[in-house]
Amino acid sequence: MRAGIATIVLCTALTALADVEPGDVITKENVAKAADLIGPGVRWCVEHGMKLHIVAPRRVEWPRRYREATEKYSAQVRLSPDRNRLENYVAGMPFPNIDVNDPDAAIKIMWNYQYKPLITDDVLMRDFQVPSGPLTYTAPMVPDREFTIGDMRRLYYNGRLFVDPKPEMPNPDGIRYKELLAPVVAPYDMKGVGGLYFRYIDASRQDDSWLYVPAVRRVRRMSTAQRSDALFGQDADQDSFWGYSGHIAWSEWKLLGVKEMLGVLHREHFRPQRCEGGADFAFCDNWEKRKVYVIEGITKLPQYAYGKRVLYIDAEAWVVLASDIYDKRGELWKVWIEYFSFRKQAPGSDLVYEDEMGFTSATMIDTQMNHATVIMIPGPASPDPNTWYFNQGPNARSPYAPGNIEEVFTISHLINVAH
Amino acid sequence: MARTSQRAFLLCAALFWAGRVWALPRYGPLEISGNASAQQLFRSPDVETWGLVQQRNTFKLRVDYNLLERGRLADLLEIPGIERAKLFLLYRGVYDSVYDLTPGFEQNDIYGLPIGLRLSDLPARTRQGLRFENRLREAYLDLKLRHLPLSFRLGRQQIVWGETDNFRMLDRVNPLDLSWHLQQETWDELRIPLWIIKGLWDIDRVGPLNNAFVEFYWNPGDWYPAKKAFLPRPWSAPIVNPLTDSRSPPDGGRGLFQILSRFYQRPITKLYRGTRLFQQGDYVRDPGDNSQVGVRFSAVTGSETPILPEGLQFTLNYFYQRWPGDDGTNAASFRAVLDPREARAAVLRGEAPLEFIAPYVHAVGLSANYAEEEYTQTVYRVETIYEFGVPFLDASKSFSLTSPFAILANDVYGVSKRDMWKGMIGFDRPTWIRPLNRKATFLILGQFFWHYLLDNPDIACRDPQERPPCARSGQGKGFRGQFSTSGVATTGSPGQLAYIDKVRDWELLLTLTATTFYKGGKIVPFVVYLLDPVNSYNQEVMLLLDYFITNHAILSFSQRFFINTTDHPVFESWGVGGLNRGRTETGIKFTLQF
Repeated sequence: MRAGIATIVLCTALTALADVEPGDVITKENVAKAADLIGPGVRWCVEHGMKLHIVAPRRVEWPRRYREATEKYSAQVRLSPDRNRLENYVAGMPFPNIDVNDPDAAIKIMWNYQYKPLITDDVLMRDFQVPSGPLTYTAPMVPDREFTIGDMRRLYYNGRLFVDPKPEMPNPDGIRYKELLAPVVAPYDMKGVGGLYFRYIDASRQDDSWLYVPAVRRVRRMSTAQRSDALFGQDADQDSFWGYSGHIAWSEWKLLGVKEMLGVLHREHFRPQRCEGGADFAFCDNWEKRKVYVIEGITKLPQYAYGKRVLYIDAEAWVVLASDIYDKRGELWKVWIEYFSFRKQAPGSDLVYEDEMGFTSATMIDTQMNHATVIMIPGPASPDPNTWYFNQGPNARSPYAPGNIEEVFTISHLINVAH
Repeated sequence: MARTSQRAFLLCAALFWAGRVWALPRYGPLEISGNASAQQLFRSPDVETWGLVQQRNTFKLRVDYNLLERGRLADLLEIPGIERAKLFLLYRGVYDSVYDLTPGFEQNDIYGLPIGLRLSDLPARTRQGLRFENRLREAYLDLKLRHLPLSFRLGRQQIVWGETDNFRMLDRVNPLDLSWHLQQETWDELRIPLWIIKGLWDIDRVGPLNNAFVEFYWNPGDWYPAKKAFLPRPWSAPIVNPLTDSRSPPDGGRGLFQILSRFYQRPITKLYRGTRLFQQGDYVRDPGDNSQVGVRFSAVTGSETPILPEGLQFTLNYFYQRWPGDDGTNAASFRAVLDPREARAAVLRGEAPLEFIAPYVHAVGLSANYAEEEYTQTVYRVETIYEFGVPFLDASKSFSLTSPFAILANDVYGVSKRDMWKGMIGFDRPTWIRPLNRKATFLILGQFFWHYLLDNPDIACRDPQERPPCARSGQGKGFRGQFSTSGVATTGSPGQLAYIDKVRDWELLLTLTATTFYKGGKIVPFVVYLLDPVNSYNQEVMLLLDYFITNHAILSFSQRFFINTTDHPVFESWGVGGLNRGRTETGIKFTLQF
């Protein structure tokens, strides 16, 4: 009996030790302190030089319109019998009340993630840099490739709350969203590359993808199987954007648990600051404790690059904080980390939002090849403070297209913007 | 002119080096980018012989300038009717040092015969004219109209339609400059940009189709045929100039002009009506006489499209253009002026009775692509075109053996026109080959091409008892390719070295390409294999490798093997192992980009 009490006391003490407080800085020397609060991927990064500055957690409020739409419509939403479709969905979060004991909890969490409050209508990120290079962990990365992206934009067709038409655009083809990454502005050998992607609501319909290749001066059709392939050889793949951008129906999902974990939701530096020295594969910024759903996804696609992903989804903001990506042998291969900065205004921008928006940057680290890709929005070479536009429709400004409107997300626009 | 070109090139190169502008220079709406490269090619016709055949220094400067955004010029002045306007300029300056260095060995022609010439045998004046290129390759304005879904690209540009990689069917708006490096570079470098008005009408939805648009162009007279060069220029067509034959042997040369000049005892130095081989036909370069037009409709099938699967992208195309002679067809580039009176008048004017031709040809085509994800995860591509009235040399249309032009009877012919059906079926498949690359897929691309000539007459000799190549009696009937020779032109006497370059009913070609990324995109290899199963299985193997030393410095290696499986010439017109016989090349290229 006494031994049992002693064990409980000891375990409680150890648990107390394995915790972090605001003001702590987690480094490879004291990573054990955060052992229970980080996944294997983030731990790997800390062990290789990333530092976590611990701050007190702050709430992430949903946009008012999203909250109201959730209250209005969520009760009517149902999962289809095959779980790959939502029935009666209009807008807002489909399943705001997750019961972890529900056998459908994992798939409901993924549907919530799909219709997350972060972007409901459209988004434009512009003029950002994406360096990638080998890691020595002792010296700063010397990028072997660095892309400057002119525009990356996405237009959602349903669940819309801010820009007319709402809640759904005329949608005879059943589009969930269209995405355009065009043009790549630099380096010269990649200049003019552009990609166009259509995602469909119907899970049985695969994406449509086209890529403008300046070397051949025409738009090429792409296979969806390439979505998990690292773009142009660097480390990030399309399906990893935002933590996960694949179709929900392409994987089997399993809820591994609900935990308190660390994530970046309120970056101190709006212009992301890379860690010093050999740890510059990551951003060193403020991490806070979050309630997180840990979800495992095993792909159903035969040509998929990865064996499985473990997503760490914030239970309040419904964004992926980090993702551990495993190879077919079950070994940790890549780590995707998002670094959010929820705020109403980007510094220097004339655009003030009604609600806090999730400005983000990300890193993808290939732990096996010791190689990393850093996505900086805004990038160090972006003079314009207006690099982000959330839910602005035609008012999303860029030198390459008139706004986040339908005519921009077409093959003809890809041809027009290309050279 | 050459001196001006030299200065411009050196100035640009100096600015590039002095500026050290590794980062992309952007000044508000202005973007400047470009690269400088040095390419060395070593040719090895056999294991014992090799030599430098190219040392090319290229400088490219690209300017993108946003003139007008949201209908406002410099964000100040409202311009009516126009939503956006963008200026695009691309300069290319080239210095080919081999025309100064004159390295290399004596080359063989397609018949396997030494031509007896080296690069140094080109006159100094000719070499001086060839060593520099100083050209604003592309210069155009993009305009998007404000209240109409209509945009225009106005200016000197390239237009590329179709689905094929590195073989041409619907990609036919811009002819090729095959003197650049025959066809061994990307089409982007080889296409001759032309002054064109191009429009794009974005329709988006038409019934069950989406992403629909109509694209059309009008080239108001600025059109050239494909540019070709001759030996001893090292990356030319594998023959000496058949008109002038720069070998100039003691007997006065075996070029057509030289033979005719000797025969008629008067200087003959031009083609009929002043046409110029591979440069200018009998037309004026103005809108009335040299316009080219084309239009295509493109769309993607939706869920309610009958018969066709959802997600199929297709285009329907129509062209009315002059025949450029650069798509691998063994077509005629010239025709004999068979009318005796016309021929005699030509000779009296100092012209050969032979005319360079580039006739108008109607062509209709279709292309489509479809991503089949469920079973094969493969993109399928198809492209096909039907051409009306392609010109072919017809041996049944020749000078009479009893006429004053009998000397030409076995080597130059009149032209007959035939329709052709051409096509390509291809696939692109990203494929994991994990033993070779655990981190990235291989993109495997395959293409199968065909050319079918309708109503192709049989070939025969004048003497029905003789079989082609008709060395004794001469040509009788049937179509002839560009490398046919009776022996008269090459040796001065019939019966020797006669070859029939057969124009076949079917020409076929298979291509297979694989590429992947290693080391995070730092190393990018390409392997390309081409097989022509019709013409003695001639083949080409290409190994290419780009190594990104940094984001701004690229080292590229290339190795091309041209395989002729026979010991005799193989006349194929795709530009594979027959045309490039003895041209196995090793290349190294260094590029700095900004």
